[in-house]
Amino acid sequence: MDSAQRARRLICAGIAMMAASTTVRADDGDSSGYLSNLWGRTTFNGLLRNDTGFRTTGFQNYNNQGNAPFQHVDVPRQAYVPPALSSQLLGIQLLPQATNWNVPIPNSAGLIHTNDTVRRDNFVPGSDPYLNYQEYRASGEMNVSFTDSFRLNIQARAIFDPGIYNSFDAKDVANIQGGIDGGGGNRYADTGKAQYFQSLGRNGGKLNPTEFAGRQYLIDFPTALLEYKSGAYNIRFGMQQIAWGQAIFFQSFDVPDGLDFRRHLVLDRAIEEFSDKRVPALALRGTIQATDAIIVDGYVQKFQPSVLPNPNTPYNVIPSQFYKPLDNYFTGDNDTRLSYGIRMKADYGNWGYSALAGSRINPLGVFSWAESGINKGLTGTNPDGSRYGNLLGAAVETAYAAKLGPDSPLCAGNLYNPTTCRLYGSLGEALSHTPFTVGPAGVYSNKEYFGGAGSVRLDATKTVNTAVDEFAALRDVYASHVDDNREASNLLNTFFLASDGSLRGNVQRDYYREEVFGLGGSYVIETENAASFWNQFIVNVEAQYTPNRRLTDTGLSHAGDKTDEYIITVVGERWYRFTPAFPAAYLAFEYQHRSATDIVGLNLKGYGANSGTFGVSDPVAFQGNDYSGLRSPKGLKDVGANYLVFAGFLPAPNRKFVLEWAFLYDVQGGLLAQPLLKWNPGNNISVDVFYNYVNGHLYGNPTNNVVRAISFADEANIRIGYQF
Amino acid sequence: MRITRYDGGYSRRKFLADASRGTLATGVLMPLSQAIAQHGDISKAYPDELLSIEGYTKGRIKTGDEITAANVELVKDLIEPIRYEQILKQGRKLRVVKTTTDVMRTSPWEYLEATLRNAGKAKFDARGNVVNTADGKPWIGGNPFPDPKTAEELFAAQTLSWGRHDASFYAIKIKNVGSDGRVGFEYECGWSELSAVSRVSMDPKPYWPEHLDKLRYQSVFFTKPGVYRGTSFLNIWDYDQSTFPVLYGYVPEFRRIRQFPTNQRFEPLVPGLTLFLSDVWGAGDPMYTWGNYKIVHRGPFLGGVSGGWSADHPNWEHKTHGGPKGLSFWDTDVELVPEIIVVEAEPTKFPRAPVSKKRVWFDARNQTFAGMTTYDRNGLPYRSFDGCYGLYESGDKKVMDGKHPYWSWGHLTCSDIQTGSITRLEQVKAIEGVHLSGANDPRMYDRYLTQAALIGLGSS
Repeated sequence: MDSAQRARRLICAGIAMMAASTTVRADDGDSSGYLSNLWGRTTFNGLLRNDTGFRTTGFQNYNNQGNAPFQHVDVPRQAYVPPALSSQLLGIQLLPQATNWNVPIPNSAGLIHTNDTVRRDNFVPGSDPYLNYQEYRASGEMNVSFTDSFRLNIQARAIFDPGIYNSFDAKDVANIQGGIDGGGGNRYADTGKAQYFQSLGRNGGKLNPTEFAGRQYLIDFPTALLEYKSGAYNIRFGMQQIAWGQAIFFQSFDVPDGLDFRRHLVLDRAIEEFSDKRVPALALRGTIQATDAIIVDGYVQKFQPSVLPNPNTPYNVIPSQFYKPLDNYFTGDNDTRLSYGIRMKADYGNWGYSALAGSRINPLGVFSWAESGINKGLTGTNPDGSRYGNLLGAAVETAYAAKLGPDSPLCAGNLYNPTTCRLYGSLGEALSHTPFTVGPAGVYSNKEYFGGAGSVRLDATKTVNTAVDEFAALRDVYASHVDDNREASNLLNTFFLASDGSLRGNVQRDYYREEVFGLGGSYVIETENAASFWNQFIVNVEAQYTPNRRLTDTGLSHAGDKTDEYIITVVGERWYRFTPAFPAAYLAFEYQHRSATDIVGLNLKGYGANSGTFGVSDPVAFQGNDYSGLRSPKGLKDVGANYLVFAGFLPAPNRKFVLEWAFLYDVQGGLLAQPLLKWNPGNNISVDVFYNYVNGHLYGNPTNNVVRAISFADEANIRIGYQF
Repeated sequence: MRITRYDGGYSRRKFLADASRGTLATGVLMPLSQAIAQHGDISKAYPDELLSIEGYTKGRIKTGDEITAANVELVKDLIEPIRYEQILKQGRKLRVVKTTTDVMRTSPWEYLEATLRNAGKAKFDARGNVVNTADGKPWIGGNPFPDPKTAEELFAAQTLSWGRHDASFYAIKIKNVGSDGRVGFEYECGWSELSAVSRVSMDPKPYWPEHLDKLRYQSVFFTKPGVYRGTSFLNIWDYDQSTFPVLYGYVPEFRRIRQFPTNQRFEPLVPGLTLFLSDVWGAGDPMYTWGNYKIVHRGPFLGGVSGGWSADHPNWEHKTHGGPKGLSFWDTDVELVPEIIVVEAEPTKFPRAPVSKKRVWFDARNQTFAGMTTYDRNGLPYRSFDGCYGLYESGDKKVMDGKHPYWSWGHLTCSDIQTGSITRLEQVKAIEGVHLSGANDPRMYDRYLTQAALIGLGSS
């Protein structure tokens, strides 16, 4: 056949069929069985990884026992006559208020222990590990595509921590003050060795029901979901993580999930953002590509709280002088509550818009004083049979026992006064109804208390008054309202002396619903000059408004602190080629302003108090009862919290090496800097080497910046991974 | 019987004469476009010396023979310097197949039909975009300039339609071979492209009315290795060829879709590759982000125009040879392309780009992209690209695209000349068993080409 004729015939045939669309897919004619097909549609992959962090300075985590502030500093203590036994007899202010907690009890020739000098390391052993972090990890993913539209995806993660940090073991202090007792809830993280992974509620239930954790291991499922896709619709059901927003690091729109701060806190490779941190939750998520330009994304999920590191683990953020907060996730019926939200995102060329509305349970929760539930007096017997307690404690117990009992008609109703009446059968029982427990490795002095409170953004004196106000049992054991830091100090030291050592604090965590609203916009700048730095520069603004957000009160009130909060994040990013010899560097500039909380959700009203040993290093003879260094927080409510981020990466030409960096600068004087070199040698191996430089005292008051909380963590890290 | 009326140098003189006049007129014996329109075949446009390897080499190489180090000198003028070096020193081989003269076998059927149907209807508007002369609206399908006269016309056609289908999905396996011959990096990915205008197969045609201002939607996502699983990027191209595409990306670390600046086009998307976004189809960037287009060479060429489908492998995977480990190069069929047009362009809108210019080889028969070499800032050869197309039919095996066999690329080789690194890509039947190569499926849009689709492609 002539080729021209053939072409014409073919063209005619083609035109005849042009009325219908043609489709080709490569599976034409495949007739394999369903199971073999399913196996062909199932994929597996895995990763083995070693993470090591080497400490590079003498600083260690001051939230842990061996390195707590004042661990190696002598501090004087003096006991005072409680007002209930002096100026406020029978609950009536008989003497001028200035005498409250200002009448020292003389030391009766050493017979009654009413003043001394205390130093923590006489009771609590120190530690000096070389490694901040050592973890072995295996993770894997299985994806089963039942059909083109329906799939199952499961990701599992197994982590082992060899625990080579010489961490504090409560059993080492078992024969001091009777040891660290349990009671009042599950004290799994306090009464033995450091628990690197377990995370339990007050009732012992697992906060994350799908994880399996022991002291040194964790197995969990970041993802276990079924997904159905049909056209513009996408539905996912199961354990999953949801991330929203254009901003990275700063969570202005990224509100669905809590964060898991176990393992390496926020000190992993920065560019991973929170991918290893978001707490997976059982959720139903639906995404609709409503139009070419508009995507709508919504979710309903079972509430899962943020997970905090346990006491004495390498990156613990709560002073270990306190018990691990009793978590009311289950006991407060929070485990059945739902969070939900919807987000709309629209993109029109260089312009983009987004909006969100959500109703969620704030995953960080609200911390407040809690009844200890631990019935333990000021004197008693240690496990080895020896006695603990001093004469001051014995005197207090005797005085308490001498008061009229709770059934006495002379103490009924309004007749009750802390001078002559008691609410409980014994002082130990009374203490069990307060947030304070007699035990070693707690707080030993007023200065330590102020330093610890300030470091977690609390108002030390206010916490004392809150405890007094909210716990009748505390008033029952002669505590009373204080008017200033001096009175608070004297009250505290009196109690510490009476305990013959230290008291341990008890707090709890509750969760509250909040409504979150957000608006955002983005614009891609284009310039005529292609070489301009601003060409293809993306500016993105995201604003979050949350009315009546409930924060932790700086006095640890159970009601928390309700406040309206707004958060504004501005992001600028672009690729920029510094030289033809290297690929473009990715540069991200970010600014965030927060009106009520810091970047981790702590109340800005608690900023500006003491931290660490706040310069107290004089010999005890020169310290005396000096209260001048004690500071109450002034807060940052007027200026808010302000952060700047500069992050990016610069790949080598073949991307086998990538230089990454991230700087978080708190304008109040904190800096977290992370340079990182990533090496992809091929053969499924990757190596990351990075350094965390953390400085929370560039200038100003260290407790005015968020970085101070982790400024012990200067460390060199290496991560080696093998994927298969 | 065909009478040999022209000596061996006639074609070369014709190409040189055109070059000296600064004109481009494809075909030697008669205008190529005329030959195609009249006969559907190119044979009448070229003398025998350009229609078979036997004719060109005077019988010293025959159809079915392999080009190796032993005989490459005979065809040195038919291949780029990079392939010549690889054959001579690295054991690369090319198998010569018969020259395709039936033009309907050189592109998708519907695309060629539209090319013939719409011939002469295209022009550039004031902004340099290709429009339908009758109404000034975007192009209506097929090659707008089947009888190209300028370098810009060649590039405009290539940029308008990469894969020549209205929608394509390519399941791709990638291996990067180091200079030691070992495979250091392996990836699997899916590549999808869908035209919003110039549609010839999928309804609505020729435009998708709601997307008239767009040229195409294009995405790429990785499924292997696991650490990159779910990494995906969505480019939305404006029809205006002076405007950068909008780029959205799903990076597993971020677990969400983010908009990214789009002028990052000279970087490997993942480690080890020698392929950039800018390299795709020889025209990976909007046309006017490059400039100074000019034709720098015409003549015969040995190109991978047919035989690109590996029909014998159940997943269409290809065999390799050459290099220290026998893993460096695809087994490749080439044919004598009677006329190749080499166009040079410079990245005028990319300050500090690592390339100073690129040269792109276009097959005069159908103006398909047949190869490319980029040059570094010093003007030295930097990277070379060559691949192989073909109809997906082999004996009684075939993959159908509607009523006709599927036409597409089969494999691609990207060679970094300066480091010795080679990236090999091949179109396979499927990745993960669910992402299947194919064309003109309207569902590709929802499945691969929206932000919601990218979320779905992410692992979690």
